[in-house]
Amino acid sequence: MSNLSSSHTQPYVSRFFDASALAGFEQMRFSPRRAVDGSFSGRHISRRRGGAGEFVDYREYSPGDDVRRIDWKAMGRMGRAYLKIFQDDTDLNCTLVLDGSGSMAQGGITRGSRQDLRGSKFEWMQHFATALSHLIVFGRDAAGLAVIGQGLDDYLAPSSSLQTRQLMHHTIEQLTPAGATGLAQGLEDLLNRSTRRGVLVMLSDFLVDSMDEVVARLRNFRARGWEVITLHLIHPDEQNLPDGNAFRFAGLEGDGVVNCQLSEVRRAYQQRFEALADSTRKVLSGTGCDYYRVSTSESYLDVLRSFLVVRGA
Amino acid sequence: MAFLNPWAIAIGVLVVGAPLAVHFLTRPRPVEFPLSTIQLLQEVIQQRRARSRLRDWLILLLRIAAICLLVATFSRPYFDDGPAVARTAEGDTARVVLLDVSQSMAAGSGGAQRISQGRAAAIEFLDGLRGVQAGVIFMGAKPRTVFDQISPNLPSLRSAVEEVTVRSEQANVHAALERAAGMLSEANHEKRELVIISDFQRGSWGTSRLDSLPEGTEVQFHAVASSVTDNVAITQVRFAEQPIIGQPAQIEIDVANFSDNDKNVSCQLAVDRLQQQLDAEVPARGSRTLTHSLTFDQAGWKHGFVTLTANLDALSEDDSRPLTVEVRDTPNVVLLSRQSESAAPSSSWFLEQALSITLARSDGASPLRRIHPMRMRPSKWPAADLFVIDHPGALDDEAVSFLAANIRRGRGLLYVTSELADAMNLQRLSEAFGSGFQPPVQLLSGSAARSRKDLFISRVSGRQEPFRVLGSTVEAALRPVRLGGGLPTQAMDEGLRDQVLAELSDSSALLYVTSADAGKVGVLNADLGESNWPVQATFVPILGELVQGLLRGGLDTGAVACGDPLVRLLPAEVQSVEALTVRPATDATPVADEYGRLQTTGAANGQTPQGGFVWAWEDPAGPGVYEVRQQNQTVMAVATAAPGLESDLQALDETVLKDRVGEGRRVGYSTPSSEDDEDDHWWTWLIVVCLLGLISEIAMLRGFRV
Repeated sequence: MSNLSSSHTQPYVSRFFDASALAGFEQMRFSPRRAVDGSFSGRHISRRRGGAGEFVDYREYSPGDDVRRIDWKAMGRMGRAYLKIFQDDTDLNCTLVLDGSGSMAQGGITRGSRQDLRGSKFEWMQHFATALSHLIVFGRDAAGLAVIGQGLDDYLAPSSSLQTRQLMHHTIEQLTPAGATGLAQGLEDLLNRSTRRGVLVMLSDFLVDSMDEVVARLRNFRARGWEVITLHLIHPDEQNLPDGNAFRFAGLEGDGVVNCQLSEVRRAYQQRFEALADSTRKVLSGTGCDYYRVSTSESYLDVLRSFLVVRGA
Repeated sequence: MAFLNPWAIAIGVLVVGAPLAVHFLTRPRPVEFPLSTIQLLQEVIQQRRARSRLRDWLILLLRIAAICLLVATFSRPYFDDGPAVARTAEGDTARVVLLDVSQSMAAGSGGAQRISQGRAAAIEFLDGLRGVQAGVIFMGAKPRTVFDQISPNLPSLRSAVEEVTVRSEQANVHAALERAAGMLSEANHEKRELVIISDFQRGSWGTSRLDSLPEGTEVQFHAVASSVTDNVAITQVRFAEQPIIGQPAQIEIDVANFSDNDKNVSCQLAVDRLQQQLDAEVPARGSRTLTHSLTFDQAGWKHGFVTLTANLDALSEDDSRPLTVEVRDTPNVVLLSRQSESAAPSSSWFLEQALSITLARSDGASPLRRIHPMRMRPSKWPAADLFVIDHPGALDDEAVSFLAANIRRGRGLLYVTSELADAMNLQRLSEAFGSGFQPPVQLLSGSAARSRKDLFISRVSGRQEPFRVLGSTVEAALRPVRLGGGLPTQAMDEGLRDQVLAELSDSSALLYVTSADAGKVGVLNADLGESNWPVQATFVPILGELVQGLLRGGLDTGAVACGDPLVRLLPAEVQSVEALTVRPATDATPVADEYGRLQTTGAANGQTPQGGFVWAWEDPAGPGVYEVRQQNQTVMAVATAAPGLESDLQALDETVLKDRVGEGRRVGYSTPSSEDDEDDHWWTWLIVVCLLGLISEIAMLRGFRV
């Protein structure tokens, strides 16, 4: 946070933030598929239908309604009380959920106790989350951050302020993958801490012990009106295993060590991995989540562009 | 199982270790790699573990097997029981070495001669002995031993083996094994060993057994053989009939070809002053009889050789064969009959007329002399080659003895039996001949003899003398013949049925011919005076053939087998053995240590011995011609040579030797080269199995989709 303090004098720029690359994205907007609850006026359709927005319909008065919203002229003509209903435009409340478990370090290099995450899923996720958060805030929407490792490790409530964005970028930059995945627990914690509905963009490899628990938590989000977007990050090494034959594989979440001749298992592994990925897709899609399978071999900018094209307003 | 290269196993162990070391040294170092999906990988590995384990084990086994097979290949195993008798021996052991010295052991050339290999092997089996007693038997026609019993004097045995040479004999395997069995039985040793070194000719070993050997005797067959077994040999030389001065005589030379190709042979015949070359093609694995007609102008014994010229084969010893034959003067015939010379036609008259035609001399003189047996004492009878007896009446003892003595020495007898007295005479002659005379039938002197007439010939041996002269028409030609007289006959138990050459319609014998020691006896059972046969065209030629056959007597102009006991009755002109000498008759005939014994046989009757004189030679040498001389005149000669069977160089198989000859015993088999390549063919099969293993491994890897 000390860096952030100095940012008052000198704007903080995350190393994952590539302003020139994102300049071309600034005309693109990230939009939810349905109405959202927002705090402020914005570009997105609000779930609330109040009196300050655009008129959309009449509704017969029922006791308890706000009498200020009765259309008196219509009452005079019709003899019955009708309320005028208006659709609000509001801002987007988007929370980025990042998987901070050890498995996200796939693709990086570990030298002793030091981790070089270049080329890893985690680094890709950091780039993507930084860019997406920037674009959300840039669109005057609120962006929040939840980092889930073994639980909800870090949480920044959605905000559209630049300070929050910088804090978010800083947080993302400082993240390191570690430990086992407590995705379900983290989601539950996040749900408890979220006061407003919004959009949940979840970046994870979904390598969890129990996918059912994760799905259950996501159903809770959905039940509370959240729109859940899942980006399933897959590293090429996970999909195809590395080139070569003799490997001593070490688990990234303390899963032990396996000596293996890949020529013997590669095909079976690939089949099994595809089955797992397909199963994940089906489960998440079945929950009502938007599912995107993302290979980290692709540029995060390309993926972001495609994502925004689909999700663009 | 043993190994020709046992050191290869030690190297193999290192070689087995080498690929393991190479495997561990060069195996790819596993790359440390962090993987998020390690649980997934573990599940996959777990799933494939059983299958992989099976595959790994199978491949490991196949690879180990391949390495072991390669090691075994280089060590060159051979599956052999090992020699039953080792070259070396010590302790309480009796060893007998049986070395074949028969003629076939001369096959080969130079150092490759079978006998050379045999000597070397025998010496090896003797040199390897330490404190062991041994015996050596040289196996020829007779087993010859260095010492009668096994002896510790190994240097003498070795010396005898070094000096032994091939003999022109056929191996008498049975006798040699009996001798070996005797030596081993007498030896009170804990262990008995018999080493048989031979070429194991089929002809000699085909029927041999080791039954006579003491229980527990270990037998080692050591086979010596020349690489070339092609052989062409003269196996027999003989005259079809005894040569007579001025008359052509046919010599028959059997040439056998013991090779797989037809051979053109050229025979050089040299007898007395006559020389002739005979050429012929002998088929593969067959024989051919070459014939040539010779006419001699002088009587006496004639010697010679038949030689194959330009015959390069494995065995040269059988390319030449000696021969000897006695050329006789025109035979003299004595007709003994009571019938008057002028009584015509009578039985003896018909005989006299027919014999005069058959035995006609070139000078016109009659070869036949008629004698009334009652009017002239036998001692006054002229010398005769053939006695013809017809209606002699009862012969006295002196006549019977005289006749028996002459016939046993090679004279012929034709007895025309027509009276009851003839049955008695034949009975007495039979007694005088002794066991050397075995007639097939006995004449019966019953009343039935009087009613014999109009008998016809019911059976005739058309393929035998004398009837074969008529060829295939013999039965038709003899159908009109009607015979009378004669005597009924009864078959003798000990007689040979096929000696009866013709039978009459009453089942009695019409004609039989049999031997009496060196002579021949023919009995014509009919009264020619009461028969129509003498006036028919078939009578003279058949009688002529019969007489010629009887004159040949027991002629055996073929060679005597070297080493086989020889007994010859000396001719009647021999008066005493003191004046006789035996010696080689030709320059090419080897000188022998001894020439047998000349002795008198039978009881002496006055000055003339009843049985005559015989030349008995227990162990004839040869090959060559040996003669008995009396006052510078040859009275008997014999050609000696190896039996023709000895020329067949084909050997018995190892399996036959082990399974049939050595049935029921533990026998070993070795050859001079067995130290190097005995059963050394397994390595090829090991390579094949090794390759199959590698192919199986590849197939398995493909099957497991690795």
